[in-house]
Amino acid sequence: MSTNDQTPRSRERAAILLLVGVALLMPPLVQIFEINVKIAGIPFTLVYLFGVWAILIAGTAWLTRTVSDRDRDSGDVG
Amino acid sequence: MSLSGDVLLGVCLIYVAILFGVAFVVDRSARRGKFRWLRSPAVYTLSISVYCTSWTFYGAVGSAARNGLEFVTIYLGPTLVFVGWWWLLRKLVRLGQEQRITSIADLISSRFGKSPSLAVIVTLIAATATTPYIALQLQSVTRSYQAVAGEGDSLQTAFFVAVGMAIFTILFGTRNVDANERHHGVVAAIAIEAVVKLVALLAVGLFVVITAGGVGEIFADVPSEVVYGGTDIFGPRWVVLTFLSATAIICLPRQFQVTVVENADQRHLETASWLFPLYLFGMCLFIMPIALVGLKTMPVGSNPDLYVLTLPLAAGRDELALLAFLGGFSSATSMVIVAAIAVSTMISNHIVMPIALRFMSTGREVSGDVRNLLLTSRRISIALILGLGFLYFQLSGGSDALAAIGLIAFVGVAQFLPSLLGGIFWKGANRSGALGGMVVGAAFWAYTLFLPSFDGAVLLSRDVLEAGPWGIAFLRPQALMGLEGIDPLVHAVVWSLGGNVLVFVSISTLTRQSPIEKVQAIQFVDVFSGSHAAAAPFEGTSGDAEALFVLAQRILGREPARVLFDRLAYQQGNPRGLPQVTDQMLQRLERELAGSVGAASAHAMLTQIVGQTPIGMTQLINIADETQRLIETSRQLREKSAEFENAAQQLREANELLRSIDKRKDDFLSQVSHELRTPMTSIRSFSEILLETQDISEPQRSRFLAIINEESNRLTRLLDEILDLSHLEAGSLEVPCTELDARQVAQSAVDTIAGLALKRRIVVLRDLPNGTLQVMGNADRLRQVLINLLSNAIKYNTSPEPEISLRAETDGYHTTIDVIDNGGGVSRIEAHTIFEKFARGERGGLDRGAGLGLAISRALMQAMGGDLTVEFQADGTSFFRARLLVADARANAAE
Repeated sequence: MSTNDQTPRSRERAAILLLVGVALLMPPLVQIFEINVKIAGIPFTLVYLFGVWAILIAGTAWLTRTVSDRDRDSGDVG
Repeated sequence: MSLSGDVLLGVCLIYVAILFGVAFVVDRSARRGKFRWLRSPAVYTLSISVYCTSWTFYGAVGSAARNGLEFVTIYLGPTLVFVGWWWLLRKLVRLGQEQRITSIADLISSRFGKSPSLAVIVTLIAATATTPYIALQLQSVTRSYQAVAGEGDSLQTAFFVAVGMAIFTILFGTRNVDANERHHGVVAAIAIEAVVKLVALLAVGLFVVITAGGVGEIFADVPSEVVYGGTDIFGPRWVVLTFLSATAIICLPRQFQVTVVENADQRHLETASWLFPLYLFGMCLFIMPIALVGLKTMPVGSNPDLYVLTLPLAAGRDELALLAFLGGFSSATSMVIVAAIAVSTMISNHIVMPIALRFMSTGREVSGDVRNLLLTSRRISIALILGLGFLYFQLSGGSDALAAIGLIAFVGVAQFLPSLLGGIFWKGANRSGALGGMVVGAAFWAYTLFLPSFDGAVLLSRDVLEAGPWGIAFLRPQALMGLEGIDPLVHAVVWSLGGNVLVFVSISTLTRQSPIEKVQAIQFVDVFSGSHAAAAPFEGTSGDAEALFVLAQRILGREPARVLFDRLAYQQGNPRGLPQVTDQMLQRLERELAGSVGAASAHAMLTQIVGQTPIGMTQLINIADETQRLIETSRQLREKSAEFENAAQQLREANELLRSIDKRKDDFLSQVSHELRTPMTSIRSFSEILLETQDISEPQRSRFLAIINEESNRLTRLLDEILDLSHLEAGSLEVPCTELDARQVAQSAVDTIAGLALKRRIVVLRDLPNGTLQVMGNADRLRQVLINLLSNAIKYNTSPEPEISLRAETDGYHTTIDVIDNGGGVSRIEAHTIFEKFARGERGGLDRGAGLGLAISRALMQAMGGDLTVEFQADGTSFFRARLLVADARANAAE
C-alpha cells in the first residue's frame, strides 16, 4: 500500500482544519463578527481575523508534527 | 546620514553584490555536495515567500488605507492552501519530482499527453499575465527611489531599473542549464531577501506603533468605515479575492517554480505548511497600524502605497527609511528574478525549443549545441519579459494602485486552475478541453480586465470601454451582456473562469483522449498509488545509442551525459560501451532530458532520433491496460473471496443436511428394528409356549398359531414395504405406466375397502365425474395408493359420525383424486413430516402401523409422474390429494 493511506486520521483532521478555516473566514459566518466593538483598543473584527489565522497556523503545525512523528515511527522516511 | 540618489544606488549595488556573492558560493558548494543547511525546510519556506512582492511591502499598506481590511484576503487564500497542503500541494510536489517537471506549462502539457500546443498556450498566458506584475515591481522601485532621492523623470528611472534588473536576473538565473531546473544559488539569495523584507517591515511597523504611542492610540479615533473599507467588506469581492490569492499561490509561474520545481525534499512541505502562513501573518501584522498612522499624519494627497517609506522619512529616521527601501527593493528583485527565470524557462523550453527542433534537424540528426541555444533563448526571454513589463508601465501610465495591477495578473494565471486541478484529480480531463478552456478563459480575461487596464491606450479605445465595440452596449468589456453594477474584478473572474470551466468540462466529456493522454492521466491522478510504474516488455524499437548519447551531451553537458549513459549501461548488465536502446532506457533518458527542456520537447527530440514514438503506441496502451488490469484483478480478488465465502456457506449447509440425513438413517434403522422386533417378539414367545408347554388345549393352540401366522404376515408386509420404499427411493423400482381410467381404479379401491368401512360404520361418498378419466399411471399401484389413503381415513377417523368422500376432478392437464374425511385431518405442522418414513399423525396412536404407508404412496405417485400432497381448506381442515397427468397432456408435453 502507498504511504499516503497510513495516516487517514491526521488527514481527516486536516480536512476539519481547512473546512473550519474556510467557514470562519468566508461569508456568511464572518459577517457575524463584523461588530463595532474594540478589544484592548483594537477593532474586534481585526482581532477575530488575525485570531482565526493564528489558530489555523498553530493547528497545522500541530497536525504536521503528529504526521511526521508517525512517519518516523513507522520507519517511513519517503 | 542624509539620503540621496547616489547613496541609494551605492547601497543597492553593494546589496546586489552581496546577494550575488552568496548565490555564487552556494552554487559552487551545492555542486560539491556541501551546504546541507541550504536544503532545509526553513530555506524552502523563505523561498516560497517570494509571494510577498513589493505589492505586499508597499501595496498592502496602500490597500489597507484605501479599502480597509480587504488586504488580508491576499494572504488568507495562500494560508488556506497551505493549511490544506495534504491534498493539493503534496500531490503537486510529488508529481514535480516523479515527472521531472520544470514549470507549470510543463506540468499541464505533460499531463495532457505531452502536448506542445498546450505548453505554448500556458507559456503565452503566463508571459502576458506576468507583464503587469513585473510592471508593478518596476513602478514600486521607481516610486520608492523617487520618494527617497527626490522627483526625477520616472520613465527614465523605471527604464534603468528594468535594465538593471534584467542584467541582475540574467547573471543570476542563466549561468547554466541546471539538471531539473534547480537554482540553489538563487534560492539562497531570495531566502536572504525574504528575511530582509520581513525584518524591514516589522521594524517600520514597530517604529510606527511606538511613536504613535501604542496600538490602542492608533485605533482610538478611527471611524469604523476606514477599518472596514466601506459597508460590504465581507461581500463577493472578499470571497473572490481570497479565491484568487489561493489560486495564485499555486498557479503563478514563480510560485510553482519555488514550491514545486525547487523543492528538494517532500517533507519540507510539512514545515512550510505552517511556517509560510506564519511568515504571511508576520508580514501583515503591522499593515493596518502603518496605514492608519499614514492616513492621520501624512499630508493629504500623498501616496498611501509609500507610507512604509515616507513615514520613517517624515520622522527623520533615514537609517530606517534605508532599511525600508532595501526591504522593498528585496521584495521587487526577488519577484522579478524568480518570475523571469520561471517564464523564460517556459519560453525557451516550450516555444523556442520546438521551433529550433523543426529547423535544426533533418532526419535523424540533431545538430547544433542545444545547451547554448537554451541559455541564449533564456537570456533573450528575460530581457523581453522585463521589456514588456516596462512597456506596460509606460502604457498604463503607472497611475494605478499597486494592488489593482497585481490582481490583473492573479486573474490571468487563475486560468490555469481548471486544467491544473482537473488534470491531477480527474482522469477524464483531456487535451482539447484544457486547450479550449484556457483559450476561452484567457480571451475573457484579456477583454474584460487586461486590455481595459491600459485605459484606452491599447487595442480597446476609451470609447469602446465606455460604450462597447461599435456602440453595442452589451459587449462593453466591463459590463458584458449587461452585467452591470458589480466590481470589475468580480465581473472578470465570473466571465473568464466561468467560461474556462464550462468549456474545459464540456469538451473533456464530449471528446476522446489519445492513448498517451490516458497513460499520463493515470500517472498524474494516481501518483500516490504507485501502480503506474509497470514496465512493459521491450518491443524492439529501432534506435541509435550513439545519436542519443550526442543529444544527451548537448542538453545535459558532456560529463553528466557520460555518467548517465554509463549508469544506464551498467544497469543493463553491460559495464562497457553504450547501453542498449530499450524502452525502459528511453523512458529514463526522456525523463532526464525533460528535467532540462520540459516533457514535450524531450519527447519530441527522442521521437526524432529513434524514428518512432519512444514508447510504442501499443505499449502505451499496455501500460494503461496494466493499470486497469491491476484494478480489475483486485476487484476480481474481492469477488473471488466473496465467492469463496459463499461456497463455504453452501458447504456448511450441505454438511448440515448430510448430518440430518445421517440422523434420519439412524432413526430409520432403529425404527425398523423396533417395528420388526414387535411381531418377532410375539412370534417367538407364542412359539416358545407351544414348544415348551405340553398340556395345551387345542383351541388355545390354534389361537396361538393364528397369532403367529398373523404376526408373520405382518412381518412380511412390513419387509415388503421397506423393500418397496428403498427401491422407490433408489429409483430402481420400475413402475410401468400405461393409459388407464382413474375413475375405474377409484371405484375398485372404494369397493376394496367397503368391507372395512362397513365394519366401522363409515359412509364413503363418491364424487366422481361422468365418463372416463384417462390418466397415465399404473393401475395396481394407483389402487394401492388409494386404498392406503382410504384405509388411513377409516382407521384414524374419530368423528362420531364418520364420513369419507372420494372426489375426482380434471383440468385437462392434471387429474386429482382427493380423499377427504371429517376426522380432523392433519395439522399444518404435521403436513411437513407426514410423508417421512415411520411418521405417524397425532391420531396414529390408535392403531399400530409401520408409518411407511404414506411415504410409499407418495414415492409411488411420484414414480408415476404425479404427486401426493396434503391440501388445506379454508376452514383449516386438510385432505390428501393424489395428482396424475392426463394422458393427452403428457403426450403434449413430450412433443
